[in-house]
Amino acid sequence: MSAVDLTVSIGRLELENPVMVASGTFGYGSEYAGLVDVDALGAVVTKGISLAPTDGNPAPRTVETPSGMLNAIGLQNPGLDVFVKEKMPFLRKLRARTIVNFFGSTVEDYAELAGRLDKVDGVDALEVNISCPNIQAGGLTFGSDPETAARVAAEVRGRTEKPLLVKLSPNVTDIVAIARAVAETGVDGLTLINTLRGMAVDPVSGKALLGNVIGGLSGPAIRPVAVRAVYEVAQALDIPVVGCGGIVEWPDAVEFLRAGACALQVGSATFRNPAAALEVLRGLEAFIKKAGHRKVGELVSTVKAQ
Amino acid sequence: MQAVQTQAEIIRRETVARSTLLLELRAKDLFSAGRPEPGQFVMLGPLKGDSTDPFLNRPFSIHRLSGSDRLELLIAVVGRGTRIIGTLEPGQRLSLLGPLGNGFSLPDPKRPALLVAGGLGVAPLFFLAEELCSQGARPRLLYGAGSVDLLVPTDGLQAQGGSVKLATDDGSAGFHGFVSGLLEEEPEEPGAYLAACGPMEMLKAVADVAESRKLELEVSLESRMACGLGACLGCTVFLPGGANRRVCCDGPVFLAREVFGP
Repeated sequence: MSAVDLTVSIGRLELENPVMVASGTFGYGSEYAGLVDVDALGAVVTKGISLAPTDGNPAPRTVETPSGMLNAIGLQNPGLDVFVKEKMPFLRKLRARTIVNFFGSTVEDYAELAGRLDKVDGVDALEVNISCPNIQAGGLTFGSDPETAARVAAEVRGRTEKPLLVKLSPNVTDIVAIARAVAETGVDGLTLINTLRGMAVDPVSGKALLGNVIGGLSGPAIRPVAVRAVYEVAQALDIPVVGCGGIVEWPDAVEFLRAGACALQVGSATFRNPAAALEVLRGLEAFIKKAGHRKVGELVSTVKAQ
Repeated sequence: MQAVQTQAEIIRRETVARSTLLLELRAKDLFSAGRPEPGQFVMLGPLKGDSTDPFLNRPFSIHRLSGSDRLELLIAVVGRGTRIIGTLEPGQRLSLLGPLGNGFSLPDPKRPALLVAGGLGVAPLFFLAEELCSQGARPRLLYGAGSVDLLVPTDGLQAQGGSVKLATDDGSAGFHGFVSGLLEEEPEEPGAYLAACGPMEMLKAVADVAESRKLELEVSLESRMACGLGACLGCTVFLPGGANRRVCCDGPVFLAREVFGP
């Protein structure tokens, strides 16, 4: 296995391997300690952090759907100060990189968070969430217009030296236009995609199955949408893309690499199998070796026409 | 106690009440970090093979430990996920994560213990009752359901020193009314320990009785869960005073005054 070079670079962010766990699906890492080898991951992307604590949405917050799930957690988190004090000590000791996902309800919030996270020891990179479908203010409102998205990215870029990813929403007409506007601000990479807006109703009672009525769809049900988004952006732009959306097993990861992703995030698959990301990593490594490649990068953007 | 991700083999599958199955599973690894405690639960789902549907596992309280490597679960067949789990035959295997959550604080065996169960809430309380019996206590289980055909057997308890009183909403067995009404008929016992599991309205009614009698009450809450480990924040409950707690790992057992206010 040692013959395979798994390291990847996403702009200035260097990872020992391309497999991360997606924001919101792995808590702050410690939840899975003891159960899986968290150290072996390329990176842990934290649950989204805001300046002040956020309570989140009323129950029910999750519902299973065909080959996937809807969630409307509402970005519940303890706020930046508690995060740094209580969650960073564990993350700091990990061999895996720590990427802190964060969101605000104003452009100023985003800038302030970036400025303060810039000074936090052990934070290897930041991921800007402008794509959460589950909160009224912030989130998706910043991610659905190229100009606004670029403004948030530029403000954040100006406040931190740390490598920066921006996580984009699929709930837009032209994801390439938004990706291009954000890429021009000099961020290190783009994470594609966040959840798709969706809802489910109990046919008998007529009740919406989420407390928030509308939520975000994740899981293998959205994988084709995510692969298409990665492909379109990777074809059009020269910026590293992190693929995310419905990766459950290693062939799914290879699909994303071929479409143009240079690294991957495993998301809700972890809920059904805590070791999902690590199994993807092992499977990917074996595949690369068997296919006669020496580096992960050799698979990137290798989609062939029929 | 450290949870493990493992496979469990179905040893026995039996219909024990209307739309309710008892699954006995062999899962040696579940016991690797010690004996699971009453009130703890497991996440259960089909083996993760080629199918991603159903996508998530389901939480089930441990109903009994039936051997050094065996446990029993009660499964109400209420939807697609439980229907799929319920069609698996003895000899087939399931994916199992556990033991999860915090169990009941086991009271001193000398204290009177009243365990109040509504519907499938009987699952963790039967385990608690057996555990208390094994320590020499004589727990009394008050167990209510909608109708007699929804009651799962609790026969084993008397032989171990415990007792069972039944209630049904329609009067088809035992006390005619809610189990909280049955509790109100019980004589006052200062210093008794109360535990309850069932629908939220029932827990509130039991908490009112506990409050008026000044008794300590522990309640086990139910919530929809995706991960069972505290990561997804899908099972959060908001407590009086504004704090939020994860049912999966801050609970599922809480002090009633934490949930309903003092």
